[in-house]
Amino acid sequence: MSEESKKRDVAMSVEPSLNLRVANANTWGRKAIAAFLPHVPLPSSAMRVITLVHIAIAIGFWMMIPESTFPGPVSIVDAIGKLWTENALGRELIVSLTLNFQMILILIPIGILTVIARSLSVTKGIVTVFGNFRFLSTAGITLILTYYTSGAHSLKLSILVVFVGAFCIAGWARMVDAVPQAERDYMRTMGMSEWQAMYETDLRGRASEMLEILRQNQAMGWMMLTAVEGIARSEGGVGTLLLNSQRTWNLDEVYAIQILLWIVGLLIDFGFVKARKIFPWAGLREGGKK
Amino acid sequence: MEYQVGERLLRAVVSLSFKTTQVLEDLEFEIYNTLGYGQIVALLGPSGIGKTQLFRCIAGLQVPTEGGIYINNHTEPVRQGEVGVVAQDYPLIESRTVLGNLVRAFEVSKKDVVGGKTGEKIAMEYLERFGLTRVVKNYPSQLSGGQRQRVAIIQQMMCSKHFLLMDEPFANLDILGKERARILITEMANAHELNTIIVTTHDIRMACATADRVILLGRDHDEAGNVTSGARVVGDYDLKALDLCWIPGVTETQKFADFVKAIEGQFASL
Repeated sequence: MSEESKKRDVAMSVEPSLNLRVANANTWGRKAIAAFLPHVPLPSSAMRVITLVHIAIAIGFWMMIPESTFPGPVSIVDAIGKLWTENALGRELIVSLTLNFQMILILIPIGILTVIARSLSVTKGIVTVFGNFRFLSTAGITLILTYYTSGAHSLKLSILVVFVGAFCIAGWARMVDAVPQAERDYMRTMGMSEWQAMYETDLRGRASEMLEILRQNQAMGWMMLTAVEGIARSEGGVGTLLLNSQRTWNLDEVYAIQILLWIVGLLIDFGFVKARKIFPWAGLREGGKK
Repeated sequence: MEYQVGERLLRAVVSLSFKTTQVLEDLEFEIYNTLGYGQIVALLGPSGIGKTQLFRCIAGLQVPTEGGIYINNHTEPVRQGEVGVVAQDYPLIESRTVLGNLVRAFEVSKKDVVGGKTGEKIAMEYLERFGLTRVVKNYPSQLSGGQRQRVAIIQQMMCSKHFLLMDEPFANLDILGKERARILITEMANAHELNTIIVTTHDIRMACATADRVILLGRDHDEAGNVTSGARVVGDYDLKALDLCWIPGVTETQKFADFVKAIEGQFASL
């Protein structure tokens, strides 16, 4: 190796580390500026710092708010323990979760039917009408459903299915309408029948999107759950428990149940994200990475 | 694609109009399988002339206002699914793997199985031939642009009962991409001596460099330059007879450059 090339190698081995140090020194300043610029991505290390700052601010606020308006962490943990041992919180949670999962199970075949119905001229308009039910008032519909159902459980389930279903149907209809004509033509050019083309484009091809629409709207169902359980309290449920605590102005329990509902809601949502893996092609990006 | 040398592959006699707009007017041409080797025909014309509508008519996706597209000696017009069609963006079924795409295409085509071969076996033969065995289990979104092109073309070859139709295969590609597409189309045409590929394009140089027959589409204009008719055939060039194809390095010759220039000269008035 010549003297020249040795010098060059040494320079190259030193230069990057020097540059790196300078870059690192500048980077945090740049990162701080970039954090306030729209659509400028930050490295994961910077994002972790931002998340920690958010958590610290949230905890700080929680500490600062008077106990009388927002109970502290200890009071909330105590309230959960009390609800669990004295008010059968576990059982009530199972009642609410059962109701929610039943709603989801009923909405899946409704989704498939909606997609098929939206593709047929004869039923296309009916889908629009059902989707527009989302503008109806819960009060009136609840009364009507009381006539057609027997028992508290079926009433609660039908209310959830009708209201969450209306939002889902509107979403699924938009999804079918948005399928490009070229995609349907492509299926036809392979010799597929209209039914086969519909299956490939709207059902199989959009299964992941269908699930995503269900995911978005079932969250609204979970949010409605407490109100619906309040309409028919005989079966119980977390909603009933919450309303009871609310009636007695037990703020610790109200916050404890709200936080529990929030965590369970997030876990259901996480379950939906995981469920999308049933469709391995969903979420694949260019280059084959997920 | 099973037919005999000398057989007529396609007869187009079409007029197409939308409300007051005449898109295609007495557009007429025939394609015969006369060469005895993979044939590539380019339907060449400027953007907006109605190539896509002609493409849709040949694919059976659009019913002409008058006339029709007839495959071989059929008296009934072409129906969708009879002709293999490769659209501009090389579509594939995104929810199926590469092998799934090919097998599904074969299944729905109801093509006669030769020698008791299954769709999977035929698909694997094609994938091996075009160096795609590594991506058999990949989904379309995991393929590179070149791999996607190959799979899309193989898929249509597997389900087509007649010839292959490609819409603007050179559109939105850089110079290297165009060259890759040209090589691929030639490879596909050469895969069997009776393969015929029809390409619609506005790219003069690529049409001349790829095809062995160029059908030029144009419209009539009045003195002010306004269009007065729908598109029809205004030129039909047999590049084989002109010694402008199937000769190595022919695209670098002055003769080829002059031919391209002559077509370019006509383009402004089409």
